[in-house]
Amino acid sequence: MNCDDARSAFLSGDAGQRELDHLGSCSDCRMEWEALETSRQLLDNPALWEEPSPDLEGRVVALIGGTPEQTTPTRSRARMWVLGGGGVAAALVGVFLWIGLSSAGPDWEVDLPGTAEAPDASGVVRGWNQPSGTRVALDIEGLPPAPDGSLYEFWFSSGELHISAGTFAAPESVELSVGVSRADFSRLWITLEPIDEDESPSGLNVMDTG
Amino acid sequence: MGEGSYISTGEPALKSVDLERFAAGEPDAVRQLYQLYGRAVFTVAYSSLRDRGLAEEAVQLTFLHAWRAADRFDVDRDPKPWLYAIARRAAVDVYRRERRHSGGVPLESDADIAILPKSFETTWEAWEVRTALDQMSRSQREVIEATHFLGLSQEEAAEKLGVAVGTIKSRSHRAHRKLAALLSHLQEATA
Ligand SMILES: [Zn+2]
Repeated sequence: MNCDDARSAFLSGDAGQRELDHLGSCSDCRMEWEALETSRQLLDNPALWEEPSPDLEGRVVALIGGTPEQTTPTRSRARMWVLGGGGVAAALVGVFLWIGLSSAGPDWEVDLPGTAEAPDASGVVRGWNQPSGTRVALDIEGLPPAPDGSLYEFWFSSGELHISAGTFAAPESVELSVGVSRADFSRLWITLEPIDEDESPSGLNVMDTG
Repeated sequence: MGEGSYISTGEPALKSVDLERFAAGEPDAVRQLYQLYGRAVFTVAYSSLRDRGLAEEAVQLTFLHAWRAADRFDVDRDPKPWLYAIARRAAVDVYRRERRHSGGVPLESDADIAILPKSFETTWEAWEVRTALDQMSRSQREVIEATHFLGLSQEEAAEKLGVAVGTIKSRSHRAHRKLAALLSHLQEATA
């Protein structure tokens, strides 16, 4: 019986009496015992053998960089800004004005009611699906301009995944763009954000599709 | 055993990743980082959350958070421990959100939610083993999978993989030696 045969039989749960006798009597194998046992335990985790869905890679790439067709520098830069790639992005991101955006009818439309923080606010989000993501137009009534030192921020969310579509101060006829697809994000909402380094939602949501 | 008792492995990155291009959101750099570490990130998420959908959400969060933090990361360092820390954090975030939503746990009781299940204790080992498996050849990994995960005997593994039993044995030797070398730091830490 050689050491390798005994050890691999043990690791694969195949060890019979001969192998176990060897492992117990061979001084080399006894020194390796602890390592063998650790190896066996480490490999015991069933999660090790689960594979993520084949399309997860594409979803991650789309989330961060857009699809391969959209690699022009201007677009990546815009996306960095929109998604808050830099610390000051939340303060600097302006409103993307898409002149003539509204000429073609929207691909989808959803009501955006005010929350208890803004009970008088009401609005509609209209969206245009694009190869590079989504353009949205917000028609909002009853929401006052953002107080000094703060901005409104419009979010696409799915669970805990919050993607900023940009910030604005004055809520009338806002048009924004975001590098993700509406189909992946069930919730659209607006928060009031202090102008600071924190890029996550403040939690003060003023309008929310829920 | 707390995770703090492990020291960074000191082994080189699987391959160098262009983190500057990743930070710029360039799709092929994102793809490259995912191909190197995506499965290991998924393993961390799946072994702690035990749910495929939640695990995949945690993977997306991990890469998104890594991308947002990438411009502050020193590109000369090995990204492996850094990405692991982000992955674990993302799994914890997803777990806590699910607890809040499903268990009717009030938002205030963070102390309660702060207790993580046992499955979170072994995420570092899971990460290390998965990255080690990913560094092995496909044929070596297949042997380990057949004997450890599917629970096949060496004879059954030989039949399943269409090779001789002797081939299974020699592959198994090589695979376990390589794995032991890649995981020796874990064994020292666990001993
Ligand atoms: Zn021996």
